[in-house]
Amino acid sequence: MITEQIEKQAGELISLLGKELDVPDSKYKEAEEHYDAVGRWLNRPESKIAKYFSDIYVQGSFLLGTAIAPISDEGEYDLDSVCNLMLKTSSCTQQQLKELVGYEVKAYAKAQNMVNPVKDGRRCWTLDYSDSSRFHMDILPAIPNKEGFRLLLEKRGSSSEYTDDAISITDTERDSYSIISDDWLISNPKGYAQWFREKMQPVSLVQFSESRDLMEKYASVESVPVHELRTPLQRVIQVLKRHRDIKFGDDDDKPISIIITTLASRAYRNQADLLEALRGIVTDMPQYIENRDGVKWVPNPVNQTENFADRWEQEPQREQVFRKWHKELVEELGGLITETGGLHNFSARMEKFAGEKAAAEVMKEYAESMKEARLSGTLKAAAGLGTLSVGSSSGASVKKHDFYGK
Amino acid sequence: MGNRKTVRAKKLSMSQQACALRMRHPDAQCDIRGNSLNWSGELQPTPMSPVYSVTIDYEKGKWPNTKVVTPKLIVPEGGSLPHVYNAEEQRLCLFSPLGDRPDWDSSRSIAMTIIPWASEWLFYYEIWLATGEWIGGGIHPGKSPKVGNN
Repeated sequence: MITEQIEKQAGELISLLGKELDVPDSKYKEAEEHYDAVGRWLNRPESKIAKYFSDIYVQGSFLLGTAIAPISDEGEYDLDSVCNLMLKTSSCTQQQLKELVGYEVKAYAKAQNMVNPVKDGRRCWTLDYSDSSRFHMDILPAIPNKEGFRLLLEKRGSSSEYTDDAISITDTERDSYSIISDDWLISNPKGYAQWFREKMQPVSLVQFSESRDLMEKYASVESVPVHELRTPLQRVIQVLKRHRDIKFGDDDDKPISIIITTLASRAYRNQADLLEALRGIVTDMPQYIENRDGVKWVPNPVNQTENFADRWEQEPQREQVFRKWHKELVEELGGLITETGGLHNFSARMEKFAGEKAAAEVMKEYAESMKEARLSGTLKAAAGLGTLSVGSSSGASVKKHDFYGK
Repeated sequence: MGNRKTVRAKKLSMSQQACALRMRHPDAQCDIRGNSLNWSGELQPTPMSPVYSVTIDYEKGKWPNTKVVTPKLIVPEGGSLPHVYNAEEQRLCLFSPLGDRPDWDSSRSIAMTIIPWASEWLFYYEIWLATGEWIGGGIHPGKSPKVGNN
């Protein structure tokens, strides 16, 4: 059988995997309810921070549409959010901001009778919903700081077209944590999402024009929330993250999602076909790791002064794990798309790649679609080797029948 | 298609069966000896599947008999091949012979029914190996036999 057909089939199965990795709509809804509820709590009249409260919004993979379902049914979802307060970095300390938000977040957890305590992280608070809905929600206290961001970039001889939504955030390990200072960490998750969206603009435009659901719901592609798009880039990132979780899920040094997402996005060439995108990205992504005077950099595309790989310098094993992961990814993807030993062998490879449950679901889904095609008369068997296909113009329609026997 | 239900179609002769088989599968072997037809060819259910050697033996007045010759089909420990008449012979149950309108009768072209069904069987066999489930549907005799026209 010619390579092209084998790859086409592998591509179809990998597309099914992408769908399998998707966070179910119900979980997206739940996520939204969670941060809405927290927002209402922070903004209620008795809240200590109501008078400063600006907004709370989701960031990270739930915003980018690259979140993946956990490997097992018991696995948990991480939801990242930003809580903006209208304060000034010149009039409060990072510690004050962190504790202001923390006070209300803890009160919320108590009011909700949450079993697990609120976790105090280096930059954020974490609500643990694991007793009720398998969610962890990070709440990042922040102050909008467009001007501060602009100045910071200017000072370092850099610039960005994505300054509007920049925020100042707290960091317990920073020397300036408990003193009034303009030395705050700057972050820009919304700017990043905007950049990410632009990376896949042509493809999302096509997707929009081809999706009746999206067209009925939104006036234009610009108004579709990025997490409702499913471009090949988003799918590839989901697949790469799952492969990372399968291979290095328990390793503290595993490649972090933002590095995978950034390198993949930069390597994306607007391929409309998932397998083409996957191959191109996997091949090209390491070349976007920069070397700045011997230090490895994965710069934040909306803030060239921030290195997503900043820990690689102090902890070189992190880069080694990244390289090892990438090497396995290349090899296993190669094996997956050239498998000729049958669907069961492909499935065994996919198990190693994306987990047992995901692989089994993909194979079942694939088989179900073949069965439906037979019932609807679109399943064809080719002359010669009797190879099955759906919707092909040649070949004999597979007639209805029942397999018989035990 | 619906006319099969109302009008009993004409039986196909051995040479008509063979002619259709040879047209669609020119690389396969197809011989008629008296009242029996023997077909021996290769099937590959999907592009990434291996090639399976399959034979079909058809004797006038009987059901066609479909076997996988090679490879030896895999049966995971503790499992048993689904939808076969004989696991040892790798003889496949491709259609239900029950009811007064069975899935197959001698008016139907083997090339257009039995062979696509065999290819499909091999497809679901690979899926069964992967998942432990037979997704292709079918009837298990003794459980819920199809009776009469329903």
